[in-house]
Amino acid sequence: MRKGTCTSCGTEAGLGSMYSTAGAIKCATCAEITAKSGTNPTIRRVSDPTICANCSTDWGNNELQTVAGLPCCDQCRDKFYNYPFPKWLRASLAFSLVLLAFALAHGWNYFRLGSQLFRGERLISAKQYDQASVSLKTVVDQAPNCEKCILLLAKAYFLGGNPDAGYKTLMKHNNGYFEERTELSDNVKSIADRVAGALALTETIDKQLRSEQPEEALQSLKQARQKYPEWKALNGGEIPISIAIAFKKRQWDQFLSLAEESFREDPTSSEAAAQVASALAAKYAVTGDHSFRQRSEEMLAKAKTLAVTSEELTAFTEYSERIQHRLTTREIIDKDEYDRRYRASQKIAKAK
Amino acid sequence: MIIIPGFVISLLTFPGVIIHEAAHLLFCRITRLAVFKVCFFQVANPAGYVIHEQTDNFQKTFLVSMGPFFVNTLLCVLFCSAAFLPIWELKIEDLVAYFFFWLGISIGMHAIPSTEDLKHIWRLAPENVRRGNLLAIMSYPIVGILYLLNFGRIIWADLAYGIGVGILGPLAIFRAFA
Repeated sequence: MRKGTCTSCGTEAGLGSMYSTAGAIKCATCAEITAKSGTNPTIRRVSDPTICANCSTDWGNNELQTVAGLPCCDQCRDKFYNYPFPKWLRASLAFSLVLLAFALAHGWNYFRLGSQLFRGERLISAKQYDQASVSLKTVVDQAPNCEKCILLLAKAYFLGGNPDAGYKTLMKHNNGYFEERTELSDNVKSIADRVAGALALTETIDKQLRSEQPEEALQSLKQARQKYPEWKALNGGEIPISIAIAFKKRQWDQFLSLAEESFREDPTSSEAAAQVASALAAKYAVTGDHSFRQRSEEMLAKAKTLAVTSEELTAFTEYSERIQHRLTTREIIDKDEYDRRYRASQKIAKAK
Repeated sequence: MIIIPGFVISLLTFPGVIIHEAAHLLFCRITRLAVFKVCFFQVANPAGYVIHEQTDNFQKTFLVSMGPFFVNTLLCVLFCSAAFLPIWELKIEDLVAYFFFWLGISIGMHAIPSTEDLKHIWRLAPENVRRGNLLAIMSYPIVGILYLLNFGRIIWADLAYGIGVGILGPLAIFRAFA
């Protein structure tokens, strides 16, 4: 312990029990008198460099190292510099790590779904709609309340040219009602409106074809394709309607050329092969050239071999009768006329 | 504006307070600063504190003051990552996910250093900037924003920070890796 002498009264005491004010060292009594003098002085406790400020151990004449400006023994220094983490905190940390591992394991399925969702979004941006719909379908199956996922899947279906699946996806969720209005929902709505417009036009096309207005049907088809160019099924609609127009206008070369084009596009179709046979029969009917008849019969035989399903066989039987009639009589009549002449009586007979 | 007493918020988000103080202690030990007293949690103001040795070393001050900001933010992102997808993206009702989301947000809410922590950096920054200390230069905007967030606690800026980090952090991770 170090000793100090009060500069006011000369009392000698332990340095650690004295005070300093304005550079002078004072005992406790004189320091109190100074404090009450009204001069408002700054008074500080003097620290004895040989006494630990924390544990008050007197280290004789050995000066101690300081911590934060105060003398501190080695034990106390060690305690301050290695302040322990409490056991409960370490246990909590260990528990938190286990919890975090559990959280990540628990969320693994969600990560998988999430990555499928983001992948789907990316694929839509890259215009790879078929692959996007595969990814997003997995997500929607497991997260049926995720409006964003449903909207993205519907968008992928619509833009991939699959309007039925798109509508089914939308309608499965609250009958097509979505709570949140977002940029995506607005976007999907505008696509769905476009698709609805095209679908309405296909009904119009159907009616126009039934009422023998193929030119109008072709116009409607073009409008539908303009509205919904992603719908690939519409692309195949132009040739059959053009064939109907050519037949109506009795443009047999045009009829043959279109029928051949249709068969080239789908060489496995019995109907397309029969259509070529029909066009060749028409050419035979108007020219009398036997090479057309021979080719027509060859195509008819091919159409027969291509008809596999019961529906295809029924359609082939019906069509081949009319083509055979054309080849035999060299008279070109449409289906309605053929039915009126030769099938109405059969129906009556069957009914009897 | 909903006014909820501070101690209620502290009680509801106690894991964040504990981690904040534990991070202070951790960085004091890493930077070899003496720690005199630690209160990890109390139902009072402040909810927790660490009394430690002061230093004029800018790096040490920066680390000790900002340590909880980095630790709490990181843990907030990690815990919220487990909850982000089912709650925010997939809309799947999962109680475990809600628990992790609460935990993550609680931790994130207490990431912002107190004004007392920031004052230490603010005190040393000018001198260190004059000496060309890059960290001190970079600390100016960070400390400025954090000061603002501190004042914004009255309008739930701390909660907004927690939720923001808890959503944007995992979202950024999934966008990057998905």
